[in-house]
Amino acid sequence: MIDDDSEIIESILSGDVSKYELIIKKYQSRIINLCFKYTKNYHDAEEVAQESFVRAFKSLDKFRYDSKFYSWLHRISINCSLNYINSKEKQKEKETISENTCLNEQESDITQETPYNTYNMESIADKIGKIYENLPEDLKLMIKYRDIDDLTYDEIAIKADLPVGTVRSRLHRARELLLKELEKDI
Amino acid sequence: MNDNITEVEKKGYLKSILKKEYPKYISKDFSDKVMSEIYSSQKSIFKTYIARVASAFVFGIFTLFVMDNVLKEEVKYSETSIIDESMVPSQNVSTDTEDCRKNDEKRFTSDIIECK
Repeated sequence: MIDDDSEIIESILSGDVSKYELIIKKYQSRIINLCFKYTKNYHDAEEVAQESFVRAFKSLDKFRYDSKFYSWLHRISINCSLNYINSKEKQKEKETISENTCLNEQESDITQETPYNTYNMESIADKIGKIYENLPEDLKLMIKYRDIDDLTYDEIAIKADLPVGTVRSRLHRARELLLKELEKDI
Repeated sequence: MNDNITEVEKKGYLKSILKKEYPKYISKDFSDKVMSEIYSSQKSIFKTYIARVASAFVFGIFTLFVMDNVLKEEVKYSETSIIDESMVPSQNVSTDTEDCRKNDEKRFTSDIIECK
């Protein structure tokens, strides 16, 4: 996995726009989830997330590496979500939605959330969660430090009192077990 | 590249699950939608750029054309000379200074005659 976002950003800025897909794939799940907290609707959450990624792409040259790329993207997504809420409120003031249109919207939401064009993240998370809980303690700890607490390899090595090589190999083994399960659904 | 993208996607999902920051549903073609919007916005930026260059070019050509006509316009000379035009003789005004003297002399002589 390309952990270093700066490498990807540099290649995008030097003209390889297709590399931006790596950024999207890497953060889409977390950004859509963030937008959902504001929109309370999956369809709108994806639209706001889409706008966030496009806006981030357009101002990528303004990213100064002062913070992590995800933190920067996170801030953009919050701004987009707040804009969405403001526009929605203005829309509500202007329009009175009839019962028929409400029903139509609900129907269209149901048709969009078919298993054919969406991933059911809840069921995937259930399976992954079970495997994670059953991992040997040493592997589980590596996953916790790296993927949940966002520590660097060096920080994990100090914390777990292990060589960096051992940290890498344990993390690789733990991830392989989890990804094997994920591959069945994605 | 494709293998790399799939790997990144899976690890992205894994991280979001482990952090418990995942939505209930995600469209399978979410990244495709974003990328197609980015490509289309880039095309429009390119079109705007081309339009700007073209308008600057047209303006430049027009300016050159105007400057060329204004600065290089030939001086048109009249066929008659300036001296000929100004030397048209006047009819009512006499330029002969001697006439005045003669008049004065006449006046003086007339006075003398009267005194006599």
